[in-house]
Amino acid sequence: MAVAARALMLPAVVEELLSEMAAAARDGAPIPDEHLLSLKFVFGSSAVQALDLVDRQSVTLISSPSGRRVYQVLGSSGRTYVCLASCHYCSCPAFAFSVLRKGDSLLCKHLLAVYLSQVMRTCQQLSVSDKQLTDVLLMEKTQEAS
Amino acid sequence: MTEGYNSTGGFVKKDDQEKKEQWSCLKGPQTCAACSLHNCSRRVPKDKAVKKFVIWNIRKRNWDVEYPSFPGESPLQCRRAGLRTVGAEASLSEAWLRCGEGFQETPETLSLTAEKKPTAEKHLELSSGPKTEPTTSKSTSGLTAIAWSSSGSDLSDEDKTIFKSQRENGHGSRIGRFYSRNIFSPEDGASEDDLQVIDWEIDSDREDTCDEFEDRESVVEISDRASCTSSRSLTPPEMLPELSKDIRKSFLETNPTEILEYSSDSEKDDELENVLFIDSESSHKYHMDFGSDGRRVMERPINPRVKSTEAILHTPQKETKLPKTPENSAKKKKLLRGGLAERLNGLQNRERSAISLWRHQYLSYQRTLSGIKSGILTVKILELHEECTIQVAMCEQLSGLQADSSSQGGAPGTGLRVLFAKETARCLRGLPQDIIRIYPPWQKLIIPNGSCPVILNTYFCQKVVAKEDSKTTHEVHSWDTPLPRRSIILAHVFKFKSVTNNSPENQVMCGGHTTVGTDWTLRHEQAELDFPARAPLRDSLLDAVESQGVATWSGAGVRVVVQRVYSLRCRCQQADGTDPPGVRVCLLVQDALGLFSEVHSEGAVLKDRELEGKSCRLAGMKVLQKVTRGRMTELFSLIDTMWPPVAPLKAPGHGPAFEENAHLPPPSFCYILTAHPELGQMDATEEDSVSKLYQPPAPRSLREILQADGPCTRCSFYARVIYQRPQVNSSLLEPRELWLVVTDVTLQTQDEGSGLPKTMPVRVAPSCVLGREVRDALSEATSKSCFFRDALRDQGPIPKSTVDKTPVMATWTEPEPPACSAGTAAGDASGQLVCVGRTVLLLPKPQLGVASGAWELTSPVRLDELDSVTRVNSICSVQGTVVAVDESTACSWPACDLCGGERLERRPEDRGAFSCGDCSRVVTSPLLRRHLQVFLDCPLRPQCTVRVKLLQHSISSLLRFAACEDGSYEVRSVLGKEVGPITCFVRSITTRPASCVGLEEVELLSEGGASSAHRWQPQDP
Repeated sequence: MAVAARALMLPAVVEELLSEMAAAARDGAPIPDEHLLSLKFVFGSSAVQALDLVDRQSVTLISSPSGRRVYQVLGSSGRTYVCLASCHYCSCPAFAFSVLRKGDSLLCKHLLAVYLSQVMRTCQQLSVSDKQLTDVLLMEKTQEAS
Repeated sequence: MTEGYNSTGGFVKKDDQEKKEQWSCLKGPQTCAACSLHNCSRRVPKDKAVKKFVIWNIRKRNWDVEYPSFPGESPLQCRRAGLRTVGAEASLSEAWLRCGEGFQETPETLSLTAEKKPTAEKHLELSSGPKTEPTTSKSTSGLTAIAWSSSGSDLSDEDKTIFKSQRENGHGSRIGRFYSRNIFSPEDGASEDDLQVIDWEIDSDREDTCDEFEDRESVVEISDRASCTSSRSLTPPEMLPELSKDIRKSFLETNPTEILEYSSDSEKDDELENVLFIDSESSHKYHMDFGSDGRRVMERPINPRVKSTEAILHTPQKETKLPKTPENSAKKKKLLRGGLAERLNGLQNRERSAISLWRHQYLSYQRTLSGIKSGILTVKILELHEECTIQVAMCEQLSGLQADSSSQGGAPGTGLRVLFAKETARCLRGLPQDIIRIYPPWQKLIIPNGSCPVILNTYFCQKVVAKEDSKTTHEVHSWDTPLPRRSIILAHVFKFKSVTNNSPENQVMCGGHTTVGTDWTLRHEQAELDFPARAPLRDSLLDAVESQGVATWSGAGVRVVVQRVYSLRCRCQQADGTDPPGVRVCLLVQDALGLFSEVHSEGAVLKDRELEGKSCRLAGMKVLQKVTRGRMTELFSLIDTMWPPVAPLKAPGHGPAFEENAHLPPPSFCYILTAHPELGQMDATEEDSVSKLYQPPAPRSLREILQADGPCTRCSFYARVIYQRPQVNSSLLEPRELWLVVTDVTLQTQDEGSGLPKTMPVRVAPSCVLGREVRDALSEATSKSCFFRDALRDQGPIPKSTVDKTPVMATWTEPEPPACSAGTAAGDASGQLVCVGRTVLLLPKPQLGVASGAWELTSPVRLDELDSVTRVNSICSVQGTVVAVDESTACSWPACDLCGGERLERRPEDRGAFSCGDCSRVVTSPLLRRHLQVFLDCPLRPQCTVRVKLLQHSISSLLRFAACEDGSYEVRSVLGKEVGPITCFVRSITTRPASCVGLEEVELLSEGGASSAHRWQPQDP
């Protein structure tokens, strides 16, 4: 029991939540209220905002022939943020503050939106060249730096 | 065709020339009812001294033209009119009784009635046939007026339904929302309050469609304002005066429940001390602050007592507000309409109100049912750590879920992981070894890889054990030390069991993941098990209605129990040939939370009737209307028979079942749903089993029903139909009123002097839809046992004063002069049984013989004798002496001896022979049909004029020795003769200006010769 308690609880809860929602979405049914409320419980106000991003189809998966893939999320402010697919990273300031620095949040709303867009299957697809993908990543860096 | 016949149209057997000058309309001491009522142009002998009277013999064809209201025919025609009259009266009184329903909508109702008039007229013209005589049209117009009011008020139910649905469609879902949340709160009984609430809702809808209700928005405004004017640690009472009035106003308006609760909070301080409610919602918390702050002021003097109680009251601190992250500032941005975000936003608001409701209920429980703690999870914290801002507590479950522990939390003693949001945790200050009570709505999530269940949405928690003050302070102190915190590993990407494995991005995300099972147990018993392939079924109709609004529900199904299946008339015509036009099959369903809805479907009755009692999945529905108790009394009288529910209901939200249904107030509203033609689905979820919630109609004996009190209650009974009026024609589908005289064994075998009648008239209103089977059975002129499901016991006794002051006239056929028609049915000592909409008449199946056998009659039917309590439209037995003969209406006419048809024509070529218009035969020896009304002196009604219209065989018996050789009859030989006992239908009872009873001798429906036992055979003199 003690060993099990060492494990992180929250990621497992979120994974299970996403699985449930994906199962519901597969059947073409609306996401049950309970799932939405649980999402809210875990992620707080980010949940509504992330869902809004999904509703607006703001998430795009950009992939290149080399196999690199990043998610680009069009934020509510109009700025685009880059989320990596292989680990939790987002270029938004909230990620830097709440997730990285304070450790208060599990995800930022953009990363949550990336997950939810996969659940809802509203993720846009975009294939670009390797060079273009690199530019996207670099541009984001410069955008953030500026 | 009329050659050879005199201008009066009839011929008399005696001497035409001699009598002709003496004809004039009789207005004698016994008013000729036929004359005054039908504008009869018939002439009657003026010479009252003549001791002989004549039974006129009139050729049918002639009176067809000139005497449209000939007595032989007029009963048929006028019965129809009378039906309408009675219907008009009854439905008017119904409408009066239902004034909450009808008169609130007065302008609309009136306009509807006016619109309806042309159709009513057309309809009447049809029924009055092709006669175009001035007299006829005059009487028709008179009838039209009656029928107009009758059909107008008859229609009012359905019309209003449809009309309101049109009008309220736009608001339906929103209206439902507010006090739907109060459905179980005991203090919410008054319908006026509901209506006010509705008005308020509509108004607020008009002002602003969405923001007004979202208290979140207004609260944000308030806190913004507060932070502008003052520091953030400002306490709310100080803050409030700073607020501009309009904000406060909207604040108050948007949260009436909560305001109410605060007042009740402060009343219930003592109870509240033991309970701590924590809400992590920042907006809600503001309210909490407000309320609790007020309390804090009040409680200061009694602080020692507070300390001594078991629990500690924590006042949430203002500074526990969420830090304003950059995202928070974007909160006000409009969400995409119809999106998930908007839905979640709405859900949050509803959860808030659900929480409020729950709190309200909790307090009520504390008041009324102390000790019941349903759905409260009690856990002991074993270990506590923090992940992000969420506290994860490893707990041991101590108790809770007594209601059904097997399906919900597992047995006490099992391990649980409880997550607390930051706000909750801060207020709770839980520590290992603390015992925490978690109140609904919590949710349980089972994570498949073998670890223990996780409890989410723990917004309401309370620490139970805090033994002494010193320890309390110690605890508070020790809580300040930070909890062990586990940092999140960013490299770990969430993997979830995705289903579209073919899409590339999901392949990446799901690589090598082996999560199995989707055990989202949300306290919905077997909801998912039944439809593994479909979306989980909801339990709450209200949720479905609220989340989908007026749009057709897509996909989501709601689990309901079909309580009743019946047909209702509607104005739309249906292409479906199996049902009569304008009839719609309706299902009265109830969800697990107790809410009722009436589903109007398009299907066939037979298939749907099989659904009754079953648990059913409802999908593809659309809200037609929301109705309240005051507006649809008939429907709610039916719902009341199913309240309180037989099985425990679930609580709103995801709370546990209510344990005591008896304390729940009956529902005050319900929804009318209609099935989408293509998407609508009603499938039984469990094929054979009958739901626990199903409450079938409980048949009672007629004696029980008549002895029970209370008008406007539904009752079910088995009874034998011994007489019906008018005859049901199975091919006639047009709705018409019908009277059935019924009895059962309890009425037949009761003691004399019990005050109850031996037979009972049942009015079948046009709104009651008779199935084809029943119509066929009734059209056979035999006595039938019937099961009357959910008939209405209408108005109770009429106050004596009313009877005395107003001229009371109840009538069957004859529309009376205006002076006498102002009253309602007299002598309604034990109420009236009415089959209305949602009443179902069924023929008991032979295999049900055991159950229905108790209501079967074996011996010939016993009837009440005509006395002072005899009611109109009932059947009685009459015995008396003939004191007078109504000479004015006496007449005779020939009929075909073979087929009984009365359309005889005299052949021009052969003056002596008739030919039958029905069977086209030459009638050589026509039967003589006679019409005779006599006045009886009855010993049981000594001061009353009893007029009886006799049947053929009684007339023959009576006149057997009165015939003169000239074809007329001597009155003297008839007077003083004993008549009876004969079986009579009571057509009218008049108490003013003179006591008068109008009877018609009838034959009861045959039942193995039972009716012949009643036939009166006169003795020879």
